[in-house]
Amino acid sequence: MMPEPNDPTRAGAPVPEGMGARVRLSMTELETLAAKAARGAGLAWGLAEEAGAATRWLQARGFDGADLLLAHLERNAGACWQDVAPVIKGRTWKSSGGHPLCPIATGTTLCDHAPLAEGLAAGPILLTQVDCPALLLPFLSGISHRMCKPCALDWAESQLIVSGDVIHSRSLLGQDMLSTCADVQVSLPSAAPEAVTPAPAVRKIAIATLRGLDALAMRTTVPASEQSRQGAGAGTTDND
Amino acid sequence: MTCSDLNPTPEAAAFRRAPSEVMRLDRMGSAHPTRLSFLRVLLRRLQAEGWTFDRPVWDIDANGVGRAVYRAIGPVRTYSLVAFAHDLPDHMRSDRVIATAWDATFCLYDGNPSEADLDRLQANVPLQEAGRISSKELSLSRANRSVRLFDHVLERLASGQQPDVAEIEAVGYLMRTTAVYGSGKFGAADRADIADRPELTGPFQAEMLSVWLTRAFTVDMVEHLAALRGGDRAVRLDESIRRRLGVGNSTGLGMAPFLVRHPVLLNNWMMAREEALSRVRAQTVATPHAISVLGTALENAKRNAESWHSEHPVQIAKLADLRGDLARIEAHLANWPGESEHPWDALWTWGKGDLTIEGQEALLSLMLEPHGALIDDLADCMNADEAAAFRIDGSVSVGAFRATLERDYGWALKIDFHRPEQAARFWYVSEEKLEPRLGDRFAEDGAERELPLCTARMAAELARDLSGWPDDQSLAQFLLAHPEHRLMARRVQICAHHPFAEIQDNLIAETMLPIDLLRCKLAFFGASHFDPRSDRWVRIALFQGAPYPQDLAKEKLL
Repeated sequence: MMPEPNDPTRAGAPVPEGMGARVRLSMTELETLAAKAARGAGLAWGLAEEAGAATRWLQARGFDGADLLLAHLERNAGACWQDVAPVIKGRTWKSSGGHPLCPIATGTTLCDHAPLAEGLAAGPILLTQVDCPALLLPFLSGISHRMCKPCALDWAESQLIVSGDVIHSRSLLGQDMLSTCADVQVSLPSAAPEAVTPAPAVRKIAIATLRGLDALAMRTTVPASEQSRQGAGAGTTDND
Repeated sequence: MTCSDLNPTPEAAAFRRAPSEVMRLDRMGSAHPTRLSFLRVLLRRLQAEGWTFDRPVWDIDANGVGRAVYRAIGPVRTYSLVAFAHDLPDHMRSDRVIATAWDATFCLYDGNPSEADLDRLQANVPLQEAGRISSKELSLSRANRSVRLFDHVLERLASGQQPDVAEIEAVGYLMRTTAVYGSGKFGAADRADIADRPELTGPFQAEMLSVWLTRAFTVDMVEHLAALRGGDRAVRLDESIRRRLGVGNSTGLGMAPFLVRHPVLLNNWMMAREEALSRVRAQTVATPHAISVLGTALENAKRNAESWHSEHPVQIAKLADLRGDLARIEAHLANWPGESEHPWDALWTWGKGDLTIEGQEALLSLMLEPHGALIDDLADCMNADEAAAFRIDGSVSVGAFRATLERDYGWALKIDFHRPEQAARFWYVSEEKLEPRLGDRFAEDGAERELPLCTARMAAELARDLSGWPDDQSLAQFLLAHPEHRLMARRVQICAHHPFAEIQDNLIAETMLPIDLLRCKLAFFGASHFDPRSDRWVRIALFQGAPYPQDLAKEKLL
């Protein structure tokens, strides 16, 4: 199956040549595409919605969320929820079988548990081997809103603090670093550092990213049949 | 602060209808436009703020091909409908989303387009879904002629005569839009980026503006071609006939999932309308002025019902109900208001006992009409902050969550989905042009790619899997074990705070009529003459009887 028939950029404004070129999508298109791609990659619908919203959140704050999501979905291809969801045991969460943790599964679980005894309210949590940890940031924003506190993500030598919808970066990480798999710690520090100038939204994504997400999104669609075509229309002429 | 904090009429609470009565498909499928419908809200604002209108570009040739620009100039911002007119061979005219060419194509531009903008748009807008627009555009749409009426009007005007009113009444519009895309589609501006502008905060205001200006274009187009064909003999449309013309819309299943996918928005639309009804019912007097406006509204409704035709058996029956009910209302009003302490409530209570659902919902619309000062502010409560309702509260106990589910979804938990007729359909997106469609689960492939619109069954499955869980565990724990229920868990929590968020019917039942979903949404737009062409395809008219841009300032307050 070719993804081209549903490529939102086909025809019209010429699509830039070469897989390195970039194309502008509206945030709505990006969120919808990301959600469909996540669903196409096998996530449950409710999680796919979270993936879409997370991608948009990142993109609006200067990260290439679409690129991160695609990298994660492709690496996670074929994994089932039990492989990639966190197992909660004390203050260290890891997957059951050594597979990297899915950041969407981990992020939603962190959010859901935030005010509970197992959650961040009770202290920092170490997450063992999270894939694309930057995809956790939108969920930390959700936690920050819910708990009315900043929320910190520490990995390697870096720390990112999210306060509400604002990212306070102590050190910035390159895109290649963002998409690696790493041990990270999340916590609720008592205060955030001074706000930094927010990064401008990333309005364009790479053609290769678009193609990759579109190919996954196509898995949510059903090939047309004569029967389905017939059922969809008026059944009468439009030339009246 | 919420809308409820601002409520100036708390006494209305005693007169509210329950969601279990309102949120049923048969009632939603009998909805009538009201003064809270989005096109009415738009026209009231344009009039109150003294917007002006002009047509700085009209570059259409003798074949009806070219481009035009219609501007709406407000106190702060200007919006321009950019129209492209095409010469479409009959065999290419299709209202389906799979069409590739149209009689005319449009976009709503944010500001005053330059020549360069027009050239850029000319390279894209005529292609519709196959083109790209930018964040300077707020909507993308297209329209096809009603071949019969357009030709009739053109021929008559060219020969110096007015068209036959019966022909005008039979169709109601010169052109019908076949899709109006907004909200970031195909590269257009994201709603989040424009929603803080007062004139665009309400739902679908950019789309309504685009369609209203499109109506002016359709009349200009037929008069232009008539003048070219008839020369000195040609005449322009009579004011009264022009007024009867709306702009049509032809739509199918593509619109149906919207109400299910936007539960908070649906709640706010429904709640505003229901609050309006309860405010009216709570009134202790019926003033002579209100009685007079009600009478005029009834006359208009009767005229609308007389000129409303359909060949669809469901709609034929509903139209018979409506006409009969309007006559009953007229007879009843002869002895109303009488001595009742709450005359409007007495009228409503009578209607509930004596009218069909179709007539009851028409009565709702009539009762709102005289009460602009009382209810028009509710239009400000019809938008939604959907992001705020997105987060799940995982800290609630399974016991409390289960109780909420059983309270709000009892209607769904009673359905036996093992019966084939209760699970006969599945909603899906077709690979072809990404069109939403409805399949037969037992005869068609693709059910494994079903869209999550089967809310009743998802609620039942959630209840089934919750049943084994101890009450004192958290929803967070449950969702970690059952990620497949996350979407429905979110809906349950939304519904707990938004009582009108969920359609309380089985959307995959064999007997479900998608046109009921369409009619509800289109009534909120302001559609008159709802005319189903099948159980999943419909034509409507918008703006029939409404002023044109050049008339707005002269009109009495809308």
